[in-house]
Amino acid sequence: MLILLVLAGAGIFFKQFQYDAERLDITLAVAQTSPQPDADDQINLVSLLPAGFAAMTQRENFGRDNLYVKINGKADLYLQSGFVELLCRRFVSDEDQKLWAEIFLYDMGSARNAFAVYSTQRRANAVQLPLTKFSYKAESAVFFTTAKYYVEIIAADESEKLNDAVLTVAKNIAKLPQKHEDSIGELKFFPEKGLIPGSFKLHLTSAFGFEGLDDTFSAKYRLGEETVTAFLSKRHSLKEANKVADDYFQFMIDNGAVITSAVNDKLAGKVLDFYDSTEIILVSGNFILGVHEAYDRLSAEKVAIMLKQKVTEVAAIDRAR
Amino acid sequence: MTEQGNENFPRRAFLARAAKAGACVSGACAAAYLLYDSKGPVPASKKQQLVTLPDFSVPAEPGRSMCIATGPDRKQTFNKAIDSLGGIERFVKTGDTVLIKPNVAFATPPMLGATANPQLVAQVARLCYSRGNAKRVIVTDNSINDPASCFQLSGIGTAARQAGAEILLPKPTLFAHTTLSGGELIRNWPILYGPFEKVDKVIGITPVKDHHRSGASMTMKNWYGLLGGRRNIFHQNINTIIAELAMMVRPTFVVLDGTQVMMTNGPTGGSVSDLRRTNTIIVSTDQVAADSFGATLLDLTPSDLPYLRKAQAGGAGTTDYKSLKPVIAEVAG
Repeated sequence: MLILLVLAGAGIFFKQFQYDAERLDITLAVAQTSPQPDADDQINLVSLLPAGFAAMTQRENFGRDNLYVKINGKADLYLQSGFVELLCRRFVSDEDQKLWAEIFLYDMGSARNAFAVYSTQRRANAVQLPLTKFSYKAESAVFFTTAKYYVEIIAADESEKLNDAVLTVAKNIAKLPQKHEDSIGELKFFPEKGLIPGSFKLHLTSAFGFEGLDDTFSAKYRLGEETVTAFLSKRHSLKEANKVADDYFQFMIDNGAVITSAVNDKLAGKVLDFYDSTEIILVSGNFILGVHEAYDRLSAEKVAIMLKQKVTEVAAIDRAR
Repeated sequence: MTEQGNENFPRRAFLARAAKAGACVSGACAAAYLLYDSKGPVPASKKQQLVTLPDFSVPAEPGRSMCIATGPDRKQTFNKAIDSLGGIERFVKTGDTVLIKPNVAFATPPMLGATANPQLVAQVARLCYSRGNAKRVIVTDNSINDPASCFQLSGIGTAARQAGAEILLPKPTLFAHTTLSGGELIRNWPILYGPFEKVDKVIGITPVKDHHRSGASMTMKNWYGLLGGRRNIFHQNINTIIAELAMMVRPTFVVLDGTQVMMTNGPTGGSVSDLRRTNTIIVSTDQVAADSFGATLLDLTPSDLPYLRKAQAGGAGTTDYKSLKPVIAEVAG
């Protein structure tokens, strides 16, 4: 009995040093990377590496609560765009430790969200790749979307060998069978003539600084020497489209825009002069569309007319189906 | 009638055993009473004493507070800038222990410009030893995701060690709680305080970067790396926290590296395409002034960054960097 008592006492003595810090609200000074539970379709990145390359570090997973640990101040961009989970892994050449790269596989929940973060970060000197519908190469890195994923593969060196390995991994990821849809319906409403390839952008919130203009696509057009940004946002109803258009119009007026008349008679919409740039706002069915900050009035009106015409045509085809 | 067992257990023996058992129980009760802690363990945040970072600044000298030096080579440009302000000897004295706080926020390669340039960090450390006769140079940052990897892959760990500096990785025992006097956000919050104990001088080194949340990440934002805890909550009040950090840390001087500026997709970047070469290094004893000029390298104005105005209002420096009459220097390429 006495031995039991001694053992129990010893147990209590040692146990007191192993209390639950969380229950006592003790703040840990250094945040730890907490692995997230695996997603159903977690991708085995190591199996996608080319010959001569191997995993350099363990797989890292980040969820909504700790994404900032990995990308700090850029986390908000992803969190506001439907981010679900990030899977990262570095890989390295068997022969040269300087030749390493890191894969960032962002599960954005949908192709639409993936496209939003892809398009808002697209580099100016991007070279389009034939990997997926939305993919490009910039210096030392490859960026693309595939289904619900936004993927970045970033190299630590600009050598050809590493560059080739990065492209191989990108191709292997792009080839993976996906359960989720890869299409974004609104893009077909943009006319193809004059469209600058790769210029599509999805503003999930506050397009052009206006809070009410969410879920808005934009694209750039080249007309001669001029570049014009067209935009389009599908709303739930004609009534809502009109409301958003009115609110955006008022927002522009409040910020110094002045109403002006269209040069082209065919243009039935609101035309504003905003500090020597042209803003055009139209409504067509459930869509609000127009031109943003164009520096040539005639080109702006031409693009606005083309856009409205295309929206009308495609919407009619959709209705006929 | 005789009860069974009485023959083997006499009354005297029974009383002796009962007395011993009673003494054991009484002793256990007394011990339990004496050892009992009615309050239980106190949460660390309440138990710890608040600390305050000392002021590491040196006496001001008119016309020698800030230098804007241009040149393609970081080492030479920094040398020129620091010499224009009186040389490293003005700031670092014989026997000093110097703490360098570079931006080591990410485990990314140096060519992406998301972290301080390793060669620049090494050069500052080297000068502290060679001309400042420093006794010891320490390099630290609270890179929250795997600090060892951040120091290794950014190249800063190796470069700093080769220059004779010591790398101090963050660990829980190095953190202490602080409250900024008049602060709104820095209240009883853990900071990486340990490395600041027993140091004489503090130097911040950071690249000029675009920042998704704050507009720009420069010398004041660099102190964000001193915060512990779940510091991401401050992203909701990014301008206030940056201003408060500038009020909290009074460095000896800061080095703002605009040799290559991250113009887009900051603060992580991801491609060399995000960088623009501007060949400029700012050395300043006034971090607000340094960042105000740094804003121009990002095609911004100081008024585009609300934290600059807040920091000025808090007494951390001036946004009117021209009023400091900065030394303009150039190193030929």
